Amino acid sequence: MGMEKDINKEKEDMMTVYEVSYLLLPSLAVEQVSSTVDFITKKIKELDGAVISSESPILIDLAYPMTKVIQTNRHKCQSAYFGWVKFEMSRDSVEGVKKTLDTSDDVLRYLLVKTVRENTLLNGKMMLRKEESLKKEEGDTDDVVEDVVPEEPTTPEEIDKSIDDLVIN
Amino acid sequence: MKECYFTKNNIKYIDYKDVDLLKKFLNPHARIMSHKRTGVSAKYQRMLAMAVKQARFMGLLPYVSR
Repeated sequence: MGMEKDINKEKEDMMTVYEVSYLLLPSLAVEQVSSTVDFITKKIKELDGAVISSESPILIDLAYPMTKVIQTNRHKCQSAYFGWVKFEMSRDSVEGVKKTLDTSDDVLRYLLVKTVRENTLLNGKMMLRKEESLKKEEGDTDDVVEDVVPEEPTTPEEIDKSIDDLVIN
Repeated sequence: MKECYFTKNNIKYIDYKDVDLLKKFLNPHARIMSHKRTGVSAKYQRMLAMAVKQARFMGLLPYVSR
């Protein structure tokens, strides 16, 4: 009997690394998105889970349309907020996370998978993010171009000055 | 024979969120390419198939295209 208890204890102590990614309805406002994320992380902490890493949701275009039935309404979505949380939790409590996501009206779809603690993304962040940053970089280059442009009007003045200098000479 | 992409680049775990990586192993119809074509080892072909299917479920990749 005692040994059985020990085994059970060991099982309870065994923590597994999970990752849950979720799609939130695109109709949500920005504040609602962050509050839903807070709600999910709070639930994970309530179930004695430790958050390892996460990425806050960003609006993405879905590869195909999905539907979510809330009461009697079918919501057809072409885009959604995609985010994920990686956390450590005992095997018994992870069912609770599933239940909260199942019952949530804001979550269009979710995926709960076992994973490894290490960062598995090659670039550290998702490619979707990278595209955004690339766009920003492009914006930066535009700024650089703008910086170059004001220099040009000054050059004729300089030329004038140099001409003036020449005339004076 | 082509070398396995994942062994060559020392990738231990294929993440389903890494859409750009997964897209390299899809044909224009969004079907998973054969290991015979890509040279991916059996171990990583299994992981790749799983990752692509998870990405499809989450709407990151299409089930069918064109």
